[in-house]
Amino acid sequence: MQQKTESHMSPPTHPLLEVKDLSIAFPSARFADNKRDKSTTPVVNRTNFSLKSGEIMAIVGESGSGKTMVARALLGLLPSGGIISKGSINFSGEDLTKFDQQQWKNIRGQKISMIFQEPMVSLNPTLKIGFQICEAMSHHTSLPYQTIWARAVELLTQVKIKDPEQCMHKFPHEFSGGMRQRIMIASSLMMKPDLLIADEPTTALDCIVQKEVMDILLNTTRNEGTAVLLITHDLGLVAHYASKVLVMEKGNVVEGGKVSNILDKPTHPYTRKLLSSLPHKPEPLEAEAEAEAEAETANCIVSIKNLCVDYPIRRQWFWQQQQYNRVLHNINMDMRAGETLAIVGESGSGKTSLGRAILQLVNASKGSISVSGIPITGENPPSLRDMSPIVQLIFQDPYASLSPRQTIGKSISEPLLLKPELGKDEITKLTKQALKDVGLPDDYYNRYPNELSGGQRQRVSIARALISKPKLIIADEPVSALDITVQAQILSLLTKLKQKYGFSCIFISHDLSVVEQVADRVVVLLHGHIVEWGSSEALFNRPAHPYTQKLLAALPELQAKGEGSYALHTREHQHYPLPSGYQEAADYADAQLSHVKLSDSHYVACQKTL
Amino acid sequence: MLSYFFKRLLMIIPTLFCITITVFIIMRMVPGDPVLLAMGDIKNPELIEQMREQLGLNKPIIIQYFHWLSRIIQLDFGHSIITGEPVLSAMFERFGVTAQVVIISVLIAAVTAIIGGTLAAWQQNKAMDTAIVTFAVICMSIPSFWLGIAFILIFGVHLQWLPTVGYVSPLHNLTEGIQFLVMPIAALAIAEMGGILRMVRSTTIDVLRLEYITHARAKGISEMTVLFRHALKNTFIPTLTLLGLIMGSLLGGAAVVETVFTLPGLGRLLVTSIYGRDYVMVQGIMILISTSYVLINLLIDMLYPLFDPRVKL
Amino acid sequence: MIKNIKNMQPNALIGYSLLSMIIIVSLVGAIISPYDPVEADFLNRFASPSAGHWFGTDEYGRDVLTRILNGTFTSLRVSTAAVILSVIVGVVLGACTGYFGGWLDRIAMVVVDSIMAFPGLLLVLGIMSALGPSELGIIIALGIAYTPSITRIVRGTVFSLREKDFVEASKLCGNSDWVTLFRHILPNCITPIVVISTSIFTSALLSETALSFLGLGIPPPEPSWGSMLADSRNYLGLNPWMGIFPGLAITFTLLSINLIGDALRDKWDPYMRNL
Repeated sequence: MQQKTESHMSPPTHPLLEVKDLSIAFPSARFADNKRDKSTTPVVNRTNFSLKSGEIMAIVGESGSGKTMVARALLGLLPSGGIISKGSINFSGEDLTKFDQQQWKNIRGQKISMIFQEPMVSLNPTLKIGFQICEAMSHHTSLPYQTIWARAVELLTQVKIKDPEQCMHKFPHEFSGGMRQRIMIASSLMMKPDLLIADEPTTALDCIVQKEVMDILLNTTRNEGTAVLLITHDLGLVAHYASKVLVMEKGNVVEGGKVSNILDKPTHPYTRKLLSSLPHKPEPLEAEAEAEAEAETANCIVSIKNLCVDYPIRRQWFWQQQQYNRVLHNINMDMRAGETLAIVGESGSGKTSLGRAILQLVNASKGSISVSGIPITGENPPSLRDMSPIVQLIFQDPYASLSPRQTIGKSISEPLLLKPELGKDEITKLTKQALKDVGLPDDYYNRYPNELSGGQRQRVSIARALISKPKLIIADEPVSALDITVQAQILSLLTKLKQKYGFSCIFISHDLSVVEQVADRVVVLLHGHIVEWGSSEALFNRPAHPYTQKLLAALPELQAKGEGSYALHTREHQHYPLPSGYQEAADYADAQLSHVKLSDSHYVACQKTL
Repeated sequence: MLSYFFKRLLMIIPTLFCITITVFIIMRMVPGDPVLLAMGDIKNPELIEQMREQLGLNKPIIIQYFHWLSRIIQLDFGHSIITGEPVLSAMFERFGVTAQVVIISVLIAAVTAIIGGTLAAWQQNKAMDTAIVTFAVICMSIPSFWLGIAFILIFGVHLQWLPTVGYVSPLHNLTEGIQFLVMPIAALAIAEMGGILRMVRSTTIDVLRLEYITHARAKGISEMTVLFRHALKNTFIPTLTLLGLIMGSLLGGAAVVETVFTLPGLGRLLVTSIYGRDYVMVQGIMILISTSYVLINLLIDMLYPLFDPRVKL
Repeated sequence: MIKNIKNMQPNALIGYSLLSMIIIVSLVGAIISPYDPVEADFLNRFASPSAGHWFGTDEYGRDVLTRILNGTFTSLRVSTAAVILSVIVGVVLGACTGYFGGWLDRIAMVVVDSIMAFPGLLLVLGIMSALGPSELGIIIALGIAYTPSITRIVRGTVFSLREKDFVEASKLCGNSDWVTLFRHILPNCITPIVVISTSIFTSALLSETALSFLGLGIPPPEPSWGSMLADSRNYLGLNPWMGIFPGLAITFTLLSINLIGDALRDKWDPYMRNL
């Protein structure tokens, strides 16, 4: 511990980490179709960068860019089959590429630490937290267990875990994703490493939790003087937290340097493409257009009144009474034909259940829903077959939404098979037209899903949803699983198709920046209640409910400043208080919320103060 | 904890019930008059009628079933048609022998397989792995009774190291008893080892791919610790399930090995009873063995919470 | 085709070639063999392997090789029939209970569990003791014994597939439950079914051999591996070859099927993971 304070006092002259010409390849890899690739294409090609002590650097890129491989190489944890084919990694004077197992054991956990992406699987489910946190330290040092324990508790307090002593005795499954990630942060800082590698640490977390975890990460590392290497695909995070950045594409570093410089003047076309793919605010509507939109209030495509949805809770004994968990409370919502309505919320907010209820995939316990004038709840609801030409769904996971054993053509044309009036030729013609609409070539008709990329599969999903020309399309997180550049393409495709075919769209998402780009009106869900809704413009510029404000504050935003340069923009969060006489509900389980009208196109739901 | 236990206990009751129904149905499937079968060679028609009354065969089949079931529950399994001795005591005499053989074989097979499987997974696709997997596949392909015959041939007939027939209980005389048990246990253990080894290997491979293993390595812990402290606890649960299944298949297949080595066990008793048309004995043995199997699986179920804290008690 | 073979794992290659060799040899050999598998030839009893009798002769002077070839064919035939029976029943039962659930599921599971409660050979022994040794009896007994495994696998797979997006998509198209089941769910079950069928096949072969060994299987004088092994026990000192060759035949056949099963499992493993 003493050595650390010394190194703080005298600033280091040469960098802590220096990577020169690093190339990583998988020479004997077998690929999915069991063919051996003859050319050993390097997965990472001649990477150069350096990192000083205490500095925070980000490596940004999409899937396949090689950023994770670089991170793994720094700890000698390349997946089996991977080797460092060229280059050197110089860490505190030693070349890591020449390390043997014994030397790695001394470095890992002590000098270089790593936290991973999926907090749900990063901790061994069968071992207690306390044991797992203290394990490395007790292995590497001969300090008494009490000292190690005390340090663990101290770190848990730093990462804002309540009751750290209690936490040490619990098992991982008793904690949520955000809390597990914080525990991981504490665990990796136990031995005061010089460098912490964070591999997509917040990707699997909700956005409010993301911000909390990142703030904690940066605070604790700043306190301990640890340098941080942040691997991410999220440019917003980079702009907010990092000082240096390295942009990677397909294994090559395309650009690198100070974050402010790169954002101000991105030189490489790929960097520019990444930045321009970020969701951006649409042009503000002209006043006339708004008035026209208002006039169509009478024309509702979806009308929901007092909807409640319950899910059964698993019973211990079959004679016990069935208990239910209410996931949606008294939802009231009207949607105008032709608009894009976004339903926003984090996981557990009920947004998916709402979408499923409109599709009749989930039963409403109370209240009523009518789609295009047809009531779908109550007695004698129409069958799925009847509703199929009216409302369709685009799924979130492009890899699970297509049947693996069916060709693309068959998957797209399936909804048409139930229309006996269409002949085989007619169906083929319509399918090919659908393929054209989503920008896929004709010969994809006979391909199988496993031959397509994520973005292409999502296009197929869209084609399938569109082919019966429905009046309403529900898009359930359609771009969440896609890379940024692909995301931008799919969003623009959806907008184009909406203009061409004129369907209404319910856009379910947790990503507010995407929502801002596409939505006309927004509904915010929290714990199954609608807490705020209104036009996109009103909600984003004058958020009234504290939860909405928190969501927006957690959104690190990059905005175009013209001439291809970008800057981090924090929203002016003037505190918009709730109307007097109202407060935020303390407990949402049984809350009775009242609706307060803030303007013609802006409402908020909160509790009356007693 | 108690509610977990009771819930599991309750769940086996319908299964036990069904076991008795199945055995009853099978025994009624035997062609021929049950009375004549039960009585063997006696030809006196009056006695036959008496027997028929006694066995309640004049009543509808459902009543017969419940009549029989109530006797079973009171542990009255009847008497052997051949020897006349009570079925229950005959079974219990033999049960010890079979239990010894099966339990020791499973233990040996399990320990070897767990160590072998874990090492093979660790060295996946390298020389050690290929060697261990080849060994496992060969073990799986050899029938246990042929291995038994081969052992008798080599160690009994040619080398004359071990006795080929007979049995002495190790509880009476340890050294002599072991001699009689070495070959059958070896034959069973080797034949079963392969399957368990492959299962352990594939589960361990799955576990080693998980992120918490990479995380443990990133902490700088030694490979052996990672393997045996982190990975093993997680692979144990599916392995435990498999052990239950293996023990079951051994209980059933012990019949053959005991026949090869002429051990006075339950399996051999079953076989000789089948030859001798002693259906009362067959019934009794079937119920005993399957009930033991159900209870073994129950025991294994109870062990789960020890290994996986996620199991709700 | 050639490309496929080149890319195959050594496992699969050995397995497939061994199995095809065994099948072809046993079929052809059984037909062209100059010896009759059943007729006795008391002049040539207990002969050791020689040019005339490659595997020697048994206690009745019958050529061991011919008997093994015929026996192989019989065992393979019986086991295949048993596997097909259990797959058909198991798939139907598993698909219906897995997809529709409800009281049908509960009743079926109780029945399935009760069959599985009989470990290993026990149930088969019980049934055979009631029916007496016969080929049809073995097929039915084995079929009943293995149906639960297939049912459970299919049920489990259907269960997990039920929640998948593409199944929901099929329902949203307006397809009825049966269409969804047949068009989308069942084709994705084929992989696990094939994999478990290989292990059931080996199990069936072993069980049939064990039954014949105990005298409860294929009735003599028709040759079968099991009965040949049983006979050999009495004459181990006199002519050990009688016991060795049938055992080798069993081992190699089982080995080939295990290798094939392994290769299939390896090939489809990433696919099955996603189920």
